[in-house]
Amino acid sequence: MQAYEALVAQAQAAARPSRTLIQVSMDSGAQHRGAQDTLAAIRTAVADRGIDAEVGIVGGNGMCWAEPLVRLTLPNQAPVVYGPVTAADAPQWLGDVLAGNLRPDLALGTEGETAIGDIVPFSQQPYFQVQRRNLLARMGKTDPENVDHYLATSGYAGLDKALDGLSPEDIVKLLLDGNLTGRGGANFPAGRKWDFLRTARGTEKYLICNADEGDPGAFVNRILLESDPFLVIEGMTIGGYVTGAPYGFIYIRDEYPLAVERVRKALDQARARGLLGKNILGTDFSYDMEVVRGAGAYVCGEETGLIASIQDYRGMPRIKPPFPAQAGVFMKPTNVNNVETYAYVPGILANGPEWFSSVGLGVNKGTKLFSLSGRINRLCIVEVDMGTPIRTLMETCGGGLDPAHTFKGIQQGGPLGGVIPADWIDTGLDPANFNSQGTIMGSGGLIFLDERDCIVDLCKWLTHFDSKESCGRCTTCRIGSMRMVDILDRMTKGIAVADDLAIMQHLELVMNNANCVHGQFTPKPFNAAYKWFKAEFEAHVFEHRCPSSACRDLVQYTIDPAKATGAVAAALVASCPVDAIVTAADSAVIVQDKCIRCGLCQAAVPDAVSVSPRTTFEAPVREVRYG
Amino acid sequence: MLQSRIGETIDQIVNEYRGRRGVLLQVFHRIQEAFGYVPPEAMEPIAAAFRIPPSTLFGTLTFYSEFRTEPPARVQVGMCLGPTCHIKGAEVVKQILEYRLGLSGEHDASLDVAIHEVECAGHCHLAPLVYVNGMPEGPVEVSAAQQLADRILSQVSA
Ligand SMILES: Cc1cc2nc3c(=O)[nH]c(=O)nc-3n(C[C@H](O)[C@H](O)[C@H](O)COP(=O)(O)O)c2cc1C
Ligand code: SF4
Ligand code: SF4
Repeated sequence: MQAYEALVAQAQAAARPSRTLIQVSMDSGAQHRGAQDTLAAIRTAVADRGIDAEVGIVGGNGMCWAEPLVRLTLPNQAPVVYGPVTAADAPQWLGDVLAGNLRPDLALGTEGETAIGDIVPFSQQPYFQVQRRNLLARMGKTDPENVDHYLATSGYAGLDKALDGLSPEDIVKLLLDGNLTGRGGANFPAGRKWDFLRTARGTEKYLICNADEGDPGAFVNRILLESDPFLVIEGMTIGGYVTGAPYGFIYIRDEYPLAVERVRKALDQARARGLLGKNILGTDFSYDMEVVRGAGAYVCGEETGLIASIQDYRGMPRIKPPFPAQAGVFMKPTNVNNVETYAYVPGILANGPEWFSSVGLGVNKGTKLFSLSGRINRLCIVEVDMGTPIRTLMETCGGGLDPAHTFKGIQQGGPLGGVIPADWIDTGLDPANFNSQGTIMGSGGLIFLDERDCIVDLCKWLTHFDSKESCGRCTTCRIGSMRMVDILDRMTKGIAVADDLAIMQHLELVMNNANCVHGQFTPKPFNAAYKWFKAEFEAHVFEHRCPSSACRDLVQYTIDPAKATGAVAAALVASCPVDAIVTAADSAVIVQDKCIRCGLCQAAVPDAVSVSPRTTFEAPVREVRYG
Repeated sequence: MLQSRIGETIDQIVNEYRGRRGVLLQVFHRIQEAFGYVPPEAMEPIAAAFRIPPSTLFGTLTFYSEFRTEPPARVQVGMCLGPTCHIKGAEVVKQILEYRLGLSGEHDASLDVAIHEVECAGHCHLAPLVYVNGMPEGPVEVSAAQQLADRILSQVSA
């Protein structure tokens, strides 16, 4: 359309760098590592030395381990990305690169297709070679706070196509042909959901983007919103056109302040360009939306909880049906999708459904974003074809684990997901492969574990999270999850009894009767863990032993009195952060009741301190905890 | 005087949103940004402006862990208890901080410092991650926890 082409032309004119361009990647991960200081240092150096260069920001490019990243585009040369570039490094680095020394030692790679000296193109590096960046195409290359950067890189081409002759029915068909499924965990076909809302009665309808991303260790939505907010907004705008919803909400968790800020800025800019609001691109289609900032409640990620939260209530999920498509926000028909789901729509329109459906090694199609954390060497975000083996992510993208330790498994799918063992390493990351084993793949968080990590303890941690985040509506969920935590807690303390394992299984049956998936899935982590790590549970229950030595209540530190006199005694006393070491009869001893088993005394004087399995336990008790 | 200024600010914020639906969380956020917490004085004007019964209002306010109903401590220590922090020893770090900062009942607890839990936001390269008044510090290994506590204490007494 003419209006669109004019915007693109304007954007291209504005965005084309005619001089040296220095961009610091600025997502919240980079900010945590001092990117703002790096940016300030570069700005100062550029100003002080009178350098003719434009300084700005771009989003992150997924290489979280190398933040802060700096992207350098010299005239007539492909961009080179450097990292980590700290504020202290920056002035020297700047001087070098502008003097012709491209600092290959600090370079991560070039975005061009040919090497620049020793700087290897990203396209020839394994980390990028195994990825397909459909959603992340702009990541780390454009300024997320500048709509022109988005427009100049085929942004809004999907919306343009939609408004330039595609009917809502056509678009639903495109999504169904492409077989786009929800990325938030449940995997439901997005086209069908959109069609429910399209055919729902009335004109007051709403769209919701679920950016509550509460799964600990999952941060793929954050990266998308921080690095390419316009993509999600465009997806929702197309959603407005297809479903007839004139208004949308994007519900962003409070832990993502930068995402809130960026999306708000993006909405303002889109409005200013006529890409949002009344008469979009000069047509008679109107759609607008706002950001709702969450306030720290995991269950608000459940769609009915989220809807309650938007409506000013406590974010408590309710029984479905009615489904949101029938009665959602303010009891009006509503469609809820995940960030990644909406983000895929513009590309499917612009490039055709095959662009999506031809990708994928298994049952499900398209690409999927994953965040790698835990014991992995390189914290990163990747986008790979559905069905890509875990090994590829772990070894090629994440740089493997510490070679001194042994890969043990992965916590996947968030606190309602599970734990899978190391022998899944060649399994493809496709929801179907997980569902067939009674677990879920989840929304993209993969937390790598090694032999130091205790599965029972992890299970307790996950269940405790679920318990703490239960909205409290159902007794089954509220009390059931507490009982589970109690039992798991006893296991990690060596005071569980054989019955406890059976009770855990009974509890699963009980919790099946909870209202929503939160309660129903709370037993899932235990379920999966017990299935694949049974021996570990049995060691805790029957032998009061933690094979990983991670459960601190199952070990005991002792000082050899003969080796802990004089200066050594003083050193031991000084080493304990909680004053649990005292001197008695000239030698240091540990007051066991005060000791938190942090191991610092042993680290300070390895010869004098030994750690051994704990031998005395309180009698097994079944306390009932209320409240 | 102070009281009336609180009231004025609250009225100002409430008026900005008056007549709109689905804005309560924003209103609470704005008030918390202004005062560091949501003071009890805010309840009546909000209830009146949005015609929400005070009981519902309190229900919403207390449901969300990010809203405070009391003024925050001068030094706030946020502990990330995400999975990577957890496996890397965050709980031990927390116990050490609590002890050193006098929050475990064995030291003087009159210091103006509080520890709260922070949800994982994927900054796991800093695990175990601790925020001191919002500024990230990490990795805070078990062996570095005591030093961090000392630094926090000097900040409290400064
Ligand atoms: C306790 C709980 C938490 C959830 N959290 C999220 C979340 O953070 N993000 C999300 O997209 N979906 C979450 N979901 C799933 C949503 O209810 C819903 O299925 C999803 O947003 C639909 O989007 P999709 O079809 O695009 O996947 C959660 C579900 C439950 C039960
Ligand atoms: S299952 Fe749990 S989270 Fe879901 S409605 Fe019931 S109490 Fe609330
Ligand atoms: S293990 Fe830690 S808490 Fe226990 S005595 Fe040693 S230093 Fe103190």
